[in-house]
Amino acid sequence: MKSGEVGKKVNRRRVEPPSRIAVVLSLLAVLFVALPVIALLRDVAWSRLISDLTTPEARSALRLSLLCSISATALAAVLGVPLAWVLARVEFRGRGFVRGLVLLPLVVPPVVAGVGLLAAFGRNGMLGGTLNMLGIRITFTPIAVVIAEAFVALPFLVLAVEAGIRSIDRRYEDAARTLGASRSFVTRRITLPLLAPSLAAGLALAWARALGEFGATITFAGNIQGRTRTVPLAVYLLLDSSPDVAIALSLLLVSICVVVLVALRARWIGAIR
Amino acid sequence: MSLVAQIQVRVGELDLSVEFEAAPGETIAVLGPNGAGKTTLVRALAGLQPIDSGRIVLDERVLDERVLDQPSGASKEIFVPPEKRDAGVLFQDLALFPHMSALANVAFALEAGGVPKREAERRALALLGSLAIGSVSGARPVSLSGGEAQRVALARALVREPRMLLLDEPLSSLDASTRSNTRATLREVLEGFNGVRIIVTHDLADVVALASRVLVLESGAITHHGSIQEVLANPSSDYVRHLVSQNPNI
Repeated sequence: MKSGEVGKKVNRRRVEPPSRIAVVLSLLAVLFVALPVIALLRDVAWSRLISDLTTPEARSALRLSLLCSISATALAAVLGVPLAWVLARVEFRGRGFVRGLVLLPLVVPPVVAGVGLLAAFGRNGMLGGTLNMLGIRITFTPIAVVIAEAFVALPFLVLAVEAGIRSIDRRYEDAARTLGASRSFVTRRITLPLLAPSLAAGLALAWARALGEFGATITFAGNIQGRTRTVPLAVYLLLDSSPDVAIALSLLLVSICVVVLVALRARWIGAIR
Repeated sequence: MSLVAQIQVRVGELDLSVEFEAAPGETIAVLGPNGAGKTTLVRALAGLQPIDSGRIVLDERVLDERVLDQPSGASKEIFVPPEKRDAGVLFQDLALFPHMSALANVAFALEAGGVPKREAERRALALLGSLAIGSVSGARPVSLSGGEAQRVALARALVREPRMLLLDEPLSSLDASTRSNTRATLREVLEGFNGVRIIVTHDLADVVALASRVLVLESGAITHHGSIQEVLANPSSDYVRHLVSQNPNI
């Protein structure tokens, strides 16, 4: 530890000072990210914050958002963890293609994702007819919200968990096998416990993304209070009629994101590296 | 009880092709330079690397068999997975589970075989005690010294009372003083173990101290075979000639 600190100091003394333009532009970049948050804080009606957050509209949006985002995270985990395992451990043709495809929701405009989901699950969609015959209607229901949120959240989960599985040393699993452990025993007692930090990171990121989903939800699930109007949709709608409530809800979303990022800081930075 | 191994396997650049037998109660050293295929041999015996052709038989039980039947072109295949092989393996870098205590690492091997947790921990603790490391049973691997970690890994490999003990470079990660100490422990353990014992090493001192017979493995093939004195008296490869010149006292 000590020698590292000394090394750091020596480094600092010897490093050439960074270019002034880079410093100025970096400061601008930080400001660019921080400014909206600061402005938001300025606009919050602090004295009425609690009452704003407990209006019937806000409460119904919060309840729905919480329920849907947790369900979406669970759905993304059920589908995403096995996929992450396959991508990390199984060599097959087209693995690169599959990995690229899974990242698609990350870059595709959410509205377009919503249009795609409508085309797939909508009443006249590809699977809509079959679902209709079975008496299942998805569009404009909370299920549509969950699907839209899971769709956009999946890449976050897969990326974090795949990186986690890759970082697990295969020797531990090999050693466990020679000690008489079946594959499922190894998964339960070795792989999953070692994966826990990455899995937690993936779940948190996926949940934060699901919670903030707007474009795909409003396109695919609509904007019905108590059924599909999640917090982001409520924020958008209330910005005209009751801006204080909209801003209070925005503050809540920002706070949740900050908490998630701070909690994951070490992991997230590690994953990028 | 004995081991019959005829192994042909290709892993990356390495073409391993070896044939040998081992009797219980004797310790065979597999000596060779880096990249000779020593670890691959251990992995093949342990079932972590299925062989391309040949057979591995332990105590009359076929563990791995892949024989191409020439006339018909059909192949006969048997593969016993690692957890059913009764092989205790000490890995080169130990591979102690980082999220478990020393005790849990050892008990794991018993629990994997269906022994209830409490009973497994009781037996694990007794074994750690007999290796004089009962006091560190609650410690995580990261806080163990090199010699302690080595003994925990050894206990873990032995606790199920396997029929075959495979030690991959058991002393290479230790510093000189810990090494001679641990070598003495290892010698006692090996003498108390009745099954087939194979120790992989690149250190002639290990061979002299621990083994009764040596196989020299170079580039995937056995180049020398016999007692250590026989091998050193008749070196037929640069590697062994070099060993002789480096160790004039042996």
